[in-house]
Order: sequence, then structure tokens, then C-alpha cells
Amino acid sequence: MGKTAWIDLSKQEVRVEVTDEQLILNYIGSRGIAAKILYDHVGPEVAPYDAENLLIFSVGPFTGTPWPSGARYTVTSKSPATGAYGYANSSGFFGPELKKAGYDMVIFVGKSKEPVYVHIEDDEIKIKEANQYWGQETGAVEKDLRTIYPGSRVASIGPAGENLVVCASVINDYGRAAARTGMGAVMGDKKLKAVVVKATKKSSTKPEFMNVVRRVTPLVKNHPGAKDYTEWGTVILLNYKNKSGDNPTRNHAYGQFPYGDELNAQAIKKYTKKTGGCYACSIKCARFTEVKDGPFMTPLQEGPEYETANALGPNVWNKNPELLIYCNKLCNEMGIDTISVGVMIAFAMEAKEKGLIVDEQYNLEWGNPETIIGLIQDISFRRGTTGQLLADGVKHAGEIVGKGAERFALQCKNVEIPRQDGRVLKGMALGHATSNRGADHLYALATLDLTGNMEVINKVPELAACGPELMDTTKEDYKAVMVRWTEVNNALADALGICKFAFTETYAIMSDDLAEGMRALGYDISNEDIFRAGQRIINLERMYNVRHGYSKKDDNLPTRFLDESLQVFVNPEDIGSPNEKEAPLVHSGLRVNLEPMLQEYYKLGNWTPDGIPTPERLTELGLGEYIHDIPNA
Amino acid sequence: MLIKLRLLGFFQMMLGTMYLDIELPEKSTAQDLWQILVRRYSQLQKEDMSKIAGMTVHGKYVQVENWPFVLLRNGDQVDLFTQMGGG
Repeated sequence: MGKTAWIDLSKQEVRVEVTDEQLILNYIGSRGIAAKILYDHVGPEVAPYDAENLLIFSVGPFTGTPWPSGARYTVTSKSPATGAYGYANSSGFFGPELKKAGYDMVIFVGKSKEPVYVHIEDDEIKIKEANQYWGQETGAVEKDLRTIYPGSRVASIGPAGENLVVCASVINDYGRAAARTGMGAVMGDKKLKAVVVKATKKSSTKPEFMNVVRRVTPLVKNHPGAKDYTEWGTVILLNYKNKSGDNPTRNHAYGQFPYGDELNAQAIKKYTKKTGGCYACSIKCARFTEVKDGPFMTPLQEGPEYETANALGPNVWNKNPELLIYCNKLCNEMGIDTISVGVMIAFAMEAKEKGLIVDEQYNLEWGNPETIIGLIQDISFRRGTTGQLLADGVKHAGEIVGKGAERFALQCKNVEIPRQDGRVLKGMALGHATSNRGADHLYALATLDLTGNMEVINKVPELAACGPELMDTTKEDYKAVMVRWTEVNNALADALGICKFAFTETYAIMSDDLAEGMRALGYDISNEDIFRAGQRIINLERMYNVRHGYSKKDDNLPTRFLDESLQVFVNPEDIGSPNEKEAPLVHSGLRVNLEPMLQEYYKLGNWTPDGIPTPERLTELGLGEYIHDIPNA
Repeated sequence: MLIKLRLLGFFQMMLGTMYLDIELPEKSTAQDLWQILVRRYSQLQKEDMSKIAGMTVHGKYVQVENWPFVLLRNGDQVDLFTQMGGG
């Protein structure tokens, strides 16, 4: 059995216990078990920056095993962004090292008075002074700690986490980010600069488990969709999205970038020096880029991925791949979420354009390099007029600016919107709105329509029973059915510690295969049990938010998506040209009609029309102990 | 012969329709079908948009590399889709 370490940073005490097997059976691991621990220990009376808040690093049963892409770990806490549930998830090699050191969870509570880092080597856990690292960027900290502790892996925060910026990330392996919902800020509040982990004992894998791994690995690796990720990486999506209306541009004023030919996969490929992958990955989608000279000189680094390429590309009207690559590195060094910071900067540029804000230091013009670079730094350090305005999130900034600025502060549950436009992808719209960690594309990753995956749809009765409109990305019909099914599978991916590109992006393997893997590890769990565990995680997370006053009113989208139409141009180059108004269109009048999707989603999940799980649903999922948290229960 | 084509994913989004009936000469291949689309739609012309494309003919998957060798028949139901979605 794995271990759970409780590290009290106030008392400088460490306690290690064996992880309860029933916890694994009910919540599988990583995101699931952390959600359960958070629920049971951090109630509404605890604020995100209270000492009683927990910061949980967790891995899943497949993390650190040979299971394809078993590389992921989760960081969970009460989020300073949502004020309720929060988690972020990252890949690379840190999670596997933590697992091999013997831990399912490392849970931090309390606050240190002085900056510290925690060094874990197998059974030994030490809290060490980190004054020398406070104020430093993540790369320098990681490099130094890995020099002191050869063979170790490091997860650290940068200035953004230290300065409690609500979108601060945790960075591991120099360029992998547990980015969303401000987990880096909670880490900074606890004065925890870094976690260093090293496993020295040789790990073994059960032969029964290896048999399952040998069966599923070729399925994952050889799926045509996975091969495309190997061949092209995520940045190829820039090319397709720009022709499709899903390359959000200028703070979602458009869905296409007229300079798309200058900032696409081919442009980034010119700076790509090598490809690579995370632990046990058979897909290897990562690209490592470098800018050798010039104003945006950037040493070799991992990324940018699509989300970053859009957020700090078309979304801020930047067409320069060198600037993008530089900003990707800068965000990782600052320890800040590239998605959120891109949305924040775009908001500031639109607010300036509309005459609502001014900044003496930056011109805030669309695409201006000094503005983009300066604001990434200023937000991270909470300095400057606009940097301070944005550091508590775009929703907060919209409310401060007022005069209608709230309309183009693009977020859900105070988490900035990821790089899809729900007006052209209705399944994604519903996923963004209902995600229990705020606006997020990976919570539900509802892409069965987008990937034309009829093979899987035909395997799943409730999906096969949908009408052909399920496959029409621009229509609301049946998207609730898809999201209900995909959100469960994605919860399982996170709980097991595997990459979604090796599971839910293609469904080359299904949840039954995951259950077989769990059984091979010795867990008594049926195919039905594991799917139910995924549903249990979703409902527990929902109840955590309900307990904090969340309901349907929070399952919302930016008004821009609800009442401003999106047009998709035949030729993106027509945008901004004198002919824009007469330019031929592929789609026009696209908006999100959210309400019917929401009501169907709630009904399918046996939730009330106000988005709250019913007592009956909680009881059938074994969550009866939380019925008392239902309002007026 | 008439091919019943369904466009999915990014292809639906970029061409603005899900369903097309395509007239093709006898003995046309899957590649010929693709070329007809490329000629008809400027959205597919600037670069090779078959990079991440998948196709099924009556539900059977056909790799891009094999498109030139797959003969289509009158009434064939063809799905053309993009195989990547998330970022």
C-alpha cells in the first residue's frame, strides 16, 4: 500500500500513514482521493489563505507505472480563484518520482513563517530553509535543487505564487505546469517554495499488470489520433482552428486570426529543436523550442502548446512566434498560468481600446510586445497600474473597471476561459460552464464530435441513441449526453494519473481497460465500479462547491458567448480588411443557448434544476454522508 | 456515381455543412473525393489539410496513405473527420 504524508508547516511536523485502501476503491487516486480529503478537512469556514487550508500533491494508481502516459499528478486545494474547489494537473517526471518514493499523497497544512522547501527521499521527509530561493524564478530554483539532490525531481513556484496571484501555477521539470485555479498561490501563502522528491528504491511491476500494459499500449500508441499528436504536436490545432472559427482572437471578438499563416504549426516548427515526451509516454507530443538571438532570445524550453500559443498569440493579437516562445518561457519562470494571463492581457487591451483604462507604462495596444511581456511580469509581481488590476483575476478586474467591462472579462467561476470558443463548439461551451474547477476544457474534454469519433459513439449505448445532431459541433442538441459521459472518463484519467491524450482524446482504450489494470494491481473493482467511481468524484466535487454556495447561477458563460454573435469567415485574412463586412462567411450568428443544455445536463445527472445533486443521487453513489450539505436538506 | 459525404469536426466547422452529395466518375478513389473537395473549397487550398484527417467508408477506417487505393462505389457513405481536438 502507498503512504500519505501530512506535513504541518506551522508546527514543522511530519506524520506518515498508510493510505486507506477503501479510499482508493471509492475515489481511485490523485484527483479523486484529494477531493475527498479536501472535502473532509477544509470546510466553508476556511478561507483559501487560512493556515487550515490544505495543499495536496497526489498521484494515482497508474502514475509511475509502465501504463501508457502514467505520468500525471494533481495539486488540490481550496482555490483562491474559485473560493471553493480547485485543482491543477501536470505531467513530466515529478509525479512518477513521488509515486516511486512511496506516496499517494503529500498533504501540506499550516503555514511556515519563513520560506521553506520540502525534501522527500523515500521514507525521509525534511523541511528545509529556502530564504535563498524566495524571489527567484522557477528554473533557477529547480536547477539548483537538482544539483544539490542529483536524480531528484522538483515542483516549485515563481514570483506569481509568492505574490499570491490567483492564477499562479506550480512548475515541474522546468516547463510542465500544474497551472489552473491558483494552486501556486496557496503554495506561496504557505511559504512553500518547492517540493523536491527522489526515490532510490527499485520499483517492481506485477506481471499481471504488465500483461494489461502490453495489451493496451499498442492500442494507445497506434490510434490514428495519437499518431497525429506524435507527428504534429498540439500546435497543429492552430492551423485547423483558424479555418474553423475556434482560434479565439482579440479577446474572442473573432474566432479567426488574419495573421494565422504567420503564427501556425509551420511557424513554430522553425524554432523546434527536438520532440519529446513525459514519463512512460508512447505518444510524445512535446515540442522543445529555442530562439537563438534577437530581442526575444529564449533558451531551449518545452512548449508552447496550443493553449498557450492561442492565449499569447491571436488572443492578444500577437503574430510573432518568437514573442510567443519568449512569453511561454517567461510564464513558466514566473510560475503563472499562460491561459489566464493571456485572457487578462486581452481584457486590458480591450478595456484600453474602449477607453476604460489607461496605463502610463504600457500603451496596451493589441499585439504590443512591451505590453505583453511587461504585464506578464507585473501581474506576477503585483506591481504597476494594470498588473495590480489583473492579479486577482479577470472577473475582479472587470468589476473594478465597471462601465460594462464585466461583459468582456471572460471567465467562469473566476477562472479565465480556455482557448476554445463555445459558440462554435457547443459541447465545449457546456463543459466550460459546468466544470467544478471553473472554466476548463479538460474537465469534460467533450471532443467526440470534434474528432468525429463514431467508433466510440457506437460502442456507448446512450451516445449511440443520440440523433445525428450530436456530431454537429455548432448545435446544442445532445451535448449534455456527451459531457455527462466524457466528464466521468476524464475524472478517471486524472484519478488514475494518466494523460488524456492516451485515453479520452481518442478512447483507443475504454474505462473497462482501466478497471482491468486496477484489478491487475490487486484492487477488487469491477468495470461498473470504476465508472461509478468517476461519477462519485464529479458529484463530490460538485457538492464541495454547493457547500460553498455554488449552484446553477455559477454554471455560466461570459455574456459575450451568450449574446454576441460569432462569424466564421471563409478567408480569415478578410478580418480587419476594408472588405470585412462584405466578406464571405461560413457561419454567422453563432451564439450559445446554454439553458437547455444545462437543464438536460442536470437531469441526466439526477441533479435538481438548480444544479445540485439530489439526495437520491448522493445515496446511490455512496455519498449519503454529504446529504446534509444540500441547502435546505 | 453519387457519394454520401458527412463532414465532421473541423471539416464541418470550416466548410459550414455536415452533409454533401458528391458526384464522382466511376472508379474514383477516396483521394479523388478529397481532391474534389479541395478544388471546390478555398478553405482547403492553402495547405494540405489532410494532415490530421481520417476517413471511414461505410464505417471502415481508411488511412490517408491508402486514400489513392480505395475505390468508392455508388451510394457509399463516407465520413471525413479530423482526429485531434483537445489542446
